[in-house]
Order: sequence, then structure tokens, then C-alpha cells
Amino acid sequence: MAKKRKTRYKKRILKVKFDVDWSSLPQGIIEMIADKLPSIDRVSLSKVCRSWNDVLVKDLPCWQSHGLPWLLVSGEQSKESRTCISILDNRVWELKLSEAYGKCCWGSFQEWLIMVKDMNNFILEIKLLNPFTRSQVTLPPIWNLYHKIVLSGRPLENDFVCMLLHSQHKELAFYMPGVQSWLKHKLMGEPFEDAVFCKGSFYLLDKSSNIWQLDAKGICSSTSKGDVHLGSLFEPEIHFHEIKMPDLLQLNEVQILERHDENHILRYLVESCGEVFLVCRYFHPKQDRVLETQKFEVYSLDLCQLSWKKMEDLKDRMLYLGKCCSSSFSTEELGVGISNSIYFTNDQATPWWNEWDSDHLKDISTRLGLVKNVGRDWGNFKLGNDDGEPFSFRGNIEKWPYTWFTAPIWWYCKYVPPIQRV
Amino acid sequence: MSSSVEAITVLSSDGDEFKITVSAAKLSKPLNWMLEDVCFSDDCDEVPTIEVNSKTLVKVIEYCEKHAPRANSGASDSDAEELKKWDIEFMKMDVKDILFHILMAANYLHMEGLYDLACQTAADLMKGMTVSQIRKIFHIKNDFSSEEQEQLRRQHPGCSFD
Repeated sequence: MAKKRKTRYKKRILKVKFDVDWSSLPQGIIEMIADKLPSIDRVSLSKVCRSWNDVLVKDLPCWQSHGLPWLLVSGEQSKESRTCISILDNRVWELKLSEAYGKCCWGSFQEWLIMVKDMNNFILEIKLLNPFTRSQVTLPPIWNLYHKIVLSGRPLENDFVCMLLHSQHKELAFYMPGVQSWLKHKLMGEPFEDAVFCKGSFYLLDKSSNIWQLDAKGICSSTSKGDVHLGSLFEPEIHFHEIKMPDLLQLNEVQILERHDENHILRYLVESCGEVFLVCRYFHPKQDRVLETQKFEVYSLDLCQLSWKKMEDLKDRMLYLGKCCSSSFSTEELGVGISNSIYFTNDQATPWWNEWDSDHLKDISTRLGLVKNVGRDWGNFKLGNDDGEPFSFRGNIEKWPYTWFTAPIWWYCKYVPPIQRV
Repeated sequence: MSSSVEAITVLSSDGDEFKITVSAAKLSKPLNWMLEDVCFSDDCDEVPTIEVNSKTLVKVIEYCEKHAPRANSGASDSDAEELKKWDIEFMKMDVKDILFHILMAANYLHMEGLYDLACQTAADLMKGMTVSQIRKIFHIKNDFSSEEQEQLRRQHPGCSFD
């Protein structure tokens, strides 16, 4: 088919010969290939040769949400470095974090940690800290009565909004860049159990499993009208959705329902791929077995049908539960063959306790007459795995819960040898 | 460009001559520009050279001719399914010899579909492999200094680079 053409023809394009050298691939091609690989493989890729490493150690915006789940150990305020556990490859790191000295970790958003310092006189200083880039954002001081903090996104992004929640007082406080102090709002209705940000809105869960929705844009526009004065109440738009819980009959099989007590179910809202999940954590009702988790149930929010749909299968998702650090990962994106897994920490059954505000945990074992140091700090529950073995997780009651956060892939590419597959 | 021309002649970087239909050539942005730019009549002695070797150009043209009808007119789901299977067969090629050139060619010729396909093929070959396996498959030399690796090993005892 091909015949040699004589060279009398003018060549329109310069002939450039290149040798086959995969290490010399243009940056764009390496990025495109890496983009098609799970996180674990991307780390391996970065260790192949120097030029690939140069491309992959960059914190590119399109890869920003990619990372591996880590746990930050609690109770290390007086350390210059903090202990972190990479749970998928089961390794422990000491992360240099002098910025966090003297501060407690309240929660996280992706790789950002929410650090809190008690300034005495009931005032808190809240700093958002990225331990990998060392960026910091300081929020205005605030009363120490809130028990939950929710970020709308990464702190340096546009339209960033931060919300504080006080369950019993039904009080909310908002911060966005540009305002001098927190904007407060009182809600009607029942106390709130948890809150989450998803696709432009804050969602609040009340005790009857109904949802209160606050649009972030609405919050920002009510502040820009200029009618907000320092510390005054402001009125963002709120939508109330009465949500049906699914048939409770099947729960009756479980004995805990016979002695049903609200205190024994801890409810978490989790954002996962643009959906809102409700995760119910059932604690053993007996007082002497306090903090013993027996099972989890997951429901997804269906706002069209105004119902919580029970999920038997999490498919590609892994859930990570924590007081102010719940998140969700895609197993395919991570490159791990783990399905239907819920990872959780030794959360207290009383989520309004904060690490900095008192000595709640001091001598708690003795006070409750428990054996010291028998509990664990985190665990893993398989959803829908009914192999007959009763599930039991006994949390470490003497320690504040650890915080889930995300170690970015670029950081792994830069500082860590390849991840061993288990 | 004359509307009567249905195929044009191009040269590979090796100086070999190939025919490609106009509708297939339109899958590449630079070739499309060239079509608008140059008179391609039979007596025209100007033949564009594509900076791709003959072996690769044969494959690129094969891909273009296969995908052109769908790209120009849209296709049914069954056609799309058939095309997907064809793509998989098409990409069964030697890593060292052809895949690298296809990647570079698709990048250089701005062929979105082929570029994506070639990157996916390369990614699939890397998936689940250890670092040393990737080096072996793609004939890449470990050019990290022993000091660099030693330092990582010291910081992270028990980790291997394989």
C-alpha cells in the first residue's frame, strides 16, 4: 500500500524523530494516564522514575480530593508532632505539626484539620490547618458552647461557608470570608443530631429524622444585603422536609429495640457522591456495657419521595464516621478491593462533649465501674454481612475519639515509598 | 479545498505515502486545518508530512477510518458497543514498539478518542503492578539515586520499592 515518495515534495511539517522512551512522556500524557488509575497505583507510578515523580508530586486542582484515609490520634496537644494512622496500609506516621501545639482537633474536611484552642473565659480560637501544605485560616473567636462544626468545602475555595451547631439550644452560627464575626441564627423545632454539607446546602437532622435544608448561596446573599450587624441574628432561608423513616418492624428482631432508648442510637449524616446518607449506630443499652457498638444501618435521603431508603449494599463506597469528620471514599478510586465497609471511631454516645471543654473522661472508667483500657480506638463494620456472628465493638472510653482526615496523593508521591498491597 | 476530493495523500516521517479519506482525516484537528488550508487536487505536488513513523501511521489511519462514520453521523448504541469491542482488539499491541508511538501521535494529532483510548490502555497495563513490574513492562530505568531511596527507606523502615 505504501510507496516511497521522492524527496522533491516540500515537507509542510518538520520531521522530528523520537526514540521510544516512556520516561520522557510529555507531562500531559502522564497526568492523563495517572488520572485513569486508582490512588494506590498513582503512588507506584510516581516511584518509577524521576520525571514521572516530578509530574505526580504536584498538588493539581483536579486531583485535590484524591487521597487516602488517615486517623489523627487524639490527646496529643503537648506534642510537636502528631501520630497518624494510615488505615489501608496499616502504617503509623509521626507528622510534624508544631502549628497544632496546644490545640485539640475538632474535625476535618478532606486534608484540612479543624484545630481548636481554649482561650479561657469560654472563648475558643478555631484554626483551619492543612498539615500537608501548612496553609492556615483563622476564624473569628466564638463562645465554646457549640458541639458541631461543618465546612462547605475547602477553606480557600470561593463561596466557603462554615457552620457551627448547638443541638440543645437549636442555635446556628455562620462564618464566611469577609465577615468580622459569626452570624447567629435560632432555629425552631427539635434539637439537632447531626449536620452535613452536600451539593450547595447544609442539611440538619432533627431527632425525628426530619431534614432542615439551608442553601449556602442564600446564607451568603443574606449577609451581602448589609443588614447584618455584629453579633446580631440573621435570617437565612430554611426549608423543612418531613422525612419518613422506613418500616421499623424489621428492627424489632433486634432485642435492643425492646428497650428502645434514644440515647443508644447515635446518628450521623454523611455526604457521599452528592447524596446524603444517614448512618445509625446502635450501642448496647446496658449501662455497664457503655460504648459497645452492636450494629450500623445506612439510609439514603430521597427528597422527592420524602423518605429515608434503607441501604443493604454500599456498592463502590466506603464510609468513615466521626463526630465532625465523616466522609466517604470510592473503593475503585482508592484501588482497594474492600466492599460494604463502614469505618468508625470510639465516638462517645454523647456527641455534645468536646475534648477541650472539661474533664469528662477523667476517671470515667472508675466512675462507671468499668475495667480500664479494654476498648479499641477504631473499628470496621461490614454492612449486610450476616454470617451469624454477632458484631461487637467496645470503644476506648478513656480516650477522645480520633479524627478521620485525608492524606493527599501528591504528598504520598513525594514523601512515601510505594504502598504495599494487603 | 475542492469538494470533489474524497481522499488525500500524506507522508509518514519515514517518507512513505498513505491515503486517508477526508472524513477520517477530520478526526485530527491539525489535519482538518490542513484540509482547509491546502489545495489537494491530483496535480498538486505538495504532500503533507505527518510526524509519525509509517508503522504508527498505518494504525492511526486504520483507527480514523473505523471511527469516522460514527464521528460524522452519530451512531446507535449497538454500533457504539461494536466499536468498543473493535477498540479493545485494536489496542492489543506491543508496548515498546507501537503503544508509545500511538500515544505520542494521538497527542500530536489532537485526536481525542484515540488519545483517551491509548492512555487507558497504558493505565490498564500499570494497574495493580509493583514499581519494578511497571519499569520492566515499559523498559524504564530506575534513575533515582541510591541516596534518595536510602533516605526514604530510613524514614519508612520496612517499606520496599518493589
